Amino acid sequence: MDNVLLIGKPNSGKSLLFNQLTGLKQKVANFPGVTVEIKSGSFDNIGLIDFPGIYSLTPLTKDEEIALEKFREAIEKNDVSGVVCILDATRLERSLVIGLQTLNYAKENNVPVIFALNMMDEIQANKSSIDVNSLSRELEVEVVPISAKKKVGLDILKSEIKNMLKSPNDYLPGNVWKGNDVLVKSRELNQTYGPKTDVILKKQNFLDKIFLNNFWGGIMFALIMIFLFQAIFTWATPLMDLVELTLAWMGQVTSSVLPDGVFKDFINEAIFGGVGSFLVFVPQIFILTFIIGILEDSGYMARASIICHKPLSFFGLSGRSFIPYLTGHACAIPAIFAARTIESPKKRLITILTIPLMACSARLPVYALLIAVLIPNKTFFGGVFGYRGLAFFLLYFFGLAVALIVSGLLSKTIKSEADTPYIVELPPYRMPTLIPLVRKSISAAWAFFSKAGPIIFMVTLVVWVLGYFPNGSGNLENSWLSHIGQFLEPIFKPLGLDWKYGVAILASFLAREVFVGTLGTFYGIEGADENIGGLSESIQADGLLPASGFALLVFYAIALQCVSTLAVLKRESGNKMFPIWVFVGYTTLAYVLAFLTYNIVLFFS
Amino acid sequence: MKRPNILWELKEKSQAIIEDLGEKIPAKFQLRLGELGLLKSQPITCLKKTPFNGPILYQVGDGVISLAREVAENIYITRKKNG
Ligand SMILES: Nc1nc2c(ncn2[C@@H]2O[C@H](COP(=O)(O)OP(=O)(O)OP(=O)(O)O)[C@@H](O)[C@H]2O)c(=O)[nH]1
Ligand SMILES: [Mg+2]
Repeated sequence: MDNVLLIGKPNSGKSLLFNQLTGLKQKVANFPGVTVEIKSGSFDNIGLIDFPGIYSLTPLTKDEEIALEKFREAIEKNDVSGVVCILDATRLERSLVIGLQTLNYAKENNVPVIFALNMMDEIQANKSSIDVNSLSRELEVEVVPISAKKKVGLDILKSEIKNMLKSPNDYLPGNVWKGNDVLVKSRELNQTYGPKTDVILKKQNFLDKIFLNNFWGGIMFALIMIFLFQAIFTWATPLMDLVELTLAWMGQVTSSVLPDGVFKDFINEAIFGGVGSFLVFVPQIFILTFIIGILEDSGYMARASIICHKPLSFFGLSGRSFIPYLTGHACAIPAIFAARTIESPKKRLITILTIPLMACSARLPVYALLIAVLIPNKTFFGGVFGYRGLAFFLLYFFGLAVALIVSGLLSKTIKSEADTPYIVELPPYRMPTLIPLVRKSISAAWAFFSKAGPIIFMVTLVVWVLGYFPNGSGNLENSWLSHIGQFLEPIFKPLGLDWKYGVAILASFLAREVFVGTLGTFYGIEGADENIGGLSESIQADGLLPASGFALLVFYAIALQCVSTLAVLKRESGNKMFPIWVFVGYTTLAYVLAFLTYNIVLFFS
Repeated sequence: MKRPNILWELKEKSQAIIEDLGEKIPAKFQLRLGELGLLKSQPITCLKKTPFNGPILYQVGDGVISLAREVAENIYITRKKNG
C-alpha cells in the first residue's frame, strides 16, 4: 500500500481532514498541539498518516520531536509515496513556513508534494480571497483549496493524491527556498496572494479584548471553571436519577421472574447492587466531556492557558500545563500525553507527576457517593448553587491545590538547564458544533464504562462470592470475606472505618470505581430485599461517621489507584523508578492526610 | 547612553519595528521566534496585555502570538512615531 503523510502547522485541520478521508475518529480541537502521536488510517487503498502539527523542521517540543523523527525516518527509508502539506488559509504565512521547508526537504529526497489549502470556508465567510492559481504557479506545487469542515474540495484532493501516486514525477517540488529565505518568502507570498489579515483577525481581536480583559478576564475564567464543576453535579442529577430508576425497575422485573435462590441473590446483589451502582455515574462523564469539549472547540483553552500562566509559574509550572491539568479531570492518561506540548522538559516532568492528583472521572463515583452520604441536598442563592455541587467544587479544588504544592516543592528540588520560555500561537475563536461534540461525549462515557466495567464485574463477583457464602443473604458479618477483612481492620481503624471499607479501599487499588461497586455489593447482601432506596441511604443507615467520610474523601483525592496511569508515567517520564516513588509517595500522603482529617473533624464535632 | 526600547514595554495598540533578539534568548528559540514571524526590521503590534501581568498578545505577520515576560523583555524594538 502507498503511504501518504499529512503534515503541516498545528491547528491547521490535519486531523479533521484525516477523519473525513479515513472515517476514523482522531481527536480534533481548536488549539495548537492536539495530536501528539502518529496515527495511520486509509482510504481507497491508500495509507494516510496523521502527524502532530509542527511549526518547523527544527523541533522545539516533545510532540514535534516525535513527529519529526518519524517524518524523517519515513522519508529517508523510502516508506513514503507522497506528502500532503496542509495550509491554514487564515494563517497562510505561518503555514507556508513549514510548507516551504517541506518542499526543500522533499526535493532533496525525491518525494512528491501537494498543498491542501484548508479553511477556505472561513476565508469566504470573511468575504476575503486567496489567489490560489498564482500561488500555485509561483510555488510550482499543486495547491488544492478545501474545507475539511464543510467537506468541500475533498474529491478533488483525493483525485490529486491518486494522480500524484500514479505519476510522482509531475509532483516533485520545483522551486525551493532555504534557511532565512523561507521566512522572507512566506511573508511576501502571504502579502501578495493571501487574505487581508486585518479582516481575518478582526473578530478574534475583538473577543480577546473581552476574554482577556485585565479585570473581567480573570473573573470570567473563575466563573467558567465554577460553572463547569457545578454542572457536573447539578445537570447530571436528573440523568443519574433516570439511570437509577431504570436500574431499580429492571431489578424488580428480574427478581419477580427469577426463582428464589443463589442465582437470584447474585443478580440482585452483585449485578444490580454492585455493577449497577457504578453505571449511575456515566451521565456525569458525558457532561464533563461535553463542557470541556466546548472549551476546546471554541478556542477558549488557549486564552485560559494565558490567564493561568502567571499563577502557575509561581508553582514552577507554565500556562502550558493548564490544558493537561484540565483534561486530567476526565482522565489522567490522555492528559499525560498532552503534556508533550510543554516545551520545558522540567515543567513537563512536574506536570506529568502531578496530573494524577486531578480529580479524574474514576474518582467521580466515589466523590458523588460520599457527598450524597455526607452533605444535605440543599440549595442556596435561590437554587442556583447547591451544597453538593459546592462540595464537589471544593474537592476538585483540593486536588488542584495539592498538585500545586507538590509542583512547587518538586520545582525546587529538580535541577534543570536554562529554562524554556512561554510562546503560544493563538487560535481563532470558533463556534463549537453540536453533533461532533455529542458524539465525542458519548464515546467518552462509553469508554469510561467499557474500560472499568469488566474490572468492576470481576471484583464484584469475587467480593460477592466471598461475602455471600457460607451463610447467604443478610449475614455478611459471618461471611468468609468478613473473616479475611478482620486482618485489615488495624490499618483502617485509625480512620474510624470498619473492615467493609477496608476491603473496598483495597479492592479499589485495581480501579477507583471499584469502591462503589464493592460497597454496593455489601449492602446488597446485607439489606437482602429492601435495598431499593439506593446505596447512599444504606450507608447513612449503617452510620458512617462524618469524620470517616471526610477522611475517605481526602484519601481518594490523593491516592494514585490506577495501574494504567502508572504504566503511562513510566513511559512518558522515561524513568522506571518514577511510578514507584509516585505511587508510594501519594499513598502515604493520602493516608496521613486522611488520618489528620479524621481527627480534626472528630475534634470539632 | 539611552536605554534600548524593549518589546515588553510597548503600549497596547501601538506598533514598533523589531531591532534585535537579545542574547539571553537561546539560539533554538531565536530560530522558532523567527519562524513564528518575529523577524528583524519587521513590524510588530502589541494587541493586548493580559490579566495578572501574563503573557502579552502580539501580532506579527498574519498570526497572533503570546510572549511571556522573559521573552518579550529580551526583544529590542524601535518605536514608531505615530503608534
Ligand atoms: N471552519 C473550519 N474549521 C476547520 C476546518 N478544518 C479544521 N477546522 C477546525 O480547526 C481546528 C483544528 O483542527 P484539527 O484537525 O484538530 O487540527 P490539527 O492540524 O490536527 O491540529 P494539531 O493536531 O494540533 O496539529 C478544529 O477546531 C477544527 O474544527 C475547516 O475546513 N473549516
Ligand atoms: Mg491533529
